[in-house]
Amino acid sequence: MAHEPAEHFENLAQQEHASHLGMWLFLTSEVLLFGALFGLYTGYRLEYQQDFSLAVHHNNIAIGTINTAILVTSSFSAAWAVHSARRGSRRGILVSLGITLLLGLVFLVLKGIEYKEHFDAGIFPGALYRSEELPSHGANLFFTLYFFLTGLHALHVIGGMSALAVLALLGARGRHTPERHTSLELGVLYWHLVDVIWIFVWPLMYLQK
Amino acid sequence: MTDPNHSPQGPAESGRDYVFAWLGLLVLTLVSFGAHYLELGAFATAVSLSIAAVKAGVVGLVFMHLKTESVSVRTVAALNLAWVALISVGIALDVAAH
Repeated sequence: MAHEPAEHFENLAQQEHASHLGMWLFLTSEVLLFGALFGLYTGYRLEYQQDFSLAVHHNNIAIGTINTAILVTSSFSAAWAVHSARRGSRRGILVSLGITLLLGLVFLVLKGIEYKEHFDAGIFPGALYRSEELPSHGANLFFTLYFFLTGLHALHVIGGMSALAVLALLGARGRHTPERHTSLELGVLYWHLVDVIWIFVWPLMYLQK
Repeated sequence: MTDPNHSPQGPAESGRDYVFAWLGLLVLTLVSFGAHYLELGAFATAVSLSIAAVKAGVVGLVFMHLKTESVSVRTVAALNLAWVALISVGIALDVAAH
């Protein structure tokens, strides 16, 4: 099938470049959103160092670490989907995206298990917080930020999975060809951003002393 | 105008690049996990965030193809780092001043 650029582009290369640049600008807005939260974390942590240290130890480091390995692996499988599209392997695209979706689902299930552990211990965000083990205001702030950051991140995981599921359907119809698979590249870029954000959430929420 | 440094597909990374990047990310995750149990004192945060920055760099350069992207896209990506650094340092200085 011949591909034609939209009329305001000189050629397909220019159109694809514009798509990539537009996607990166969108990713920048996402980075600013999470950057503000990381900034807030920095400020509160400096103010409540002892409380934050105690609160971090309450998080399940095993689940946090396994989820980190899961997300970096899902980035690899997502990248492999683009690699498969470049080689013209429809099966490769579908298997790679299928693995990515499965890993995203496992990540969410583990996050849900972790949330349940928190709820059972009376750890809720904001005014609902009623932990007897960690009653300090600083711990309350830490977990409010924790729920906001990881909850927002989980919404991004769900958004990314939805986009990848649509791209998998398009892939099954043969829409990602070696010559033209921009939509797949852009969807996968978004998934990588979800991974990069978690790469920073993990040390801040699980590894600090 | 089309960016002269950009080609539609870019010079494709080989499958081997992706596999090495993935294994590198897993190793760095293990290193960060192990470092958590060392007595690094005041350096613990710097070490874990430095490892995270290297991991993000690997994802960006290899998986997100920044290695082969156009100058304009790489500039936007670099600005991401600058904004987050600016926000964090600004807030930290403000808290320290009070």
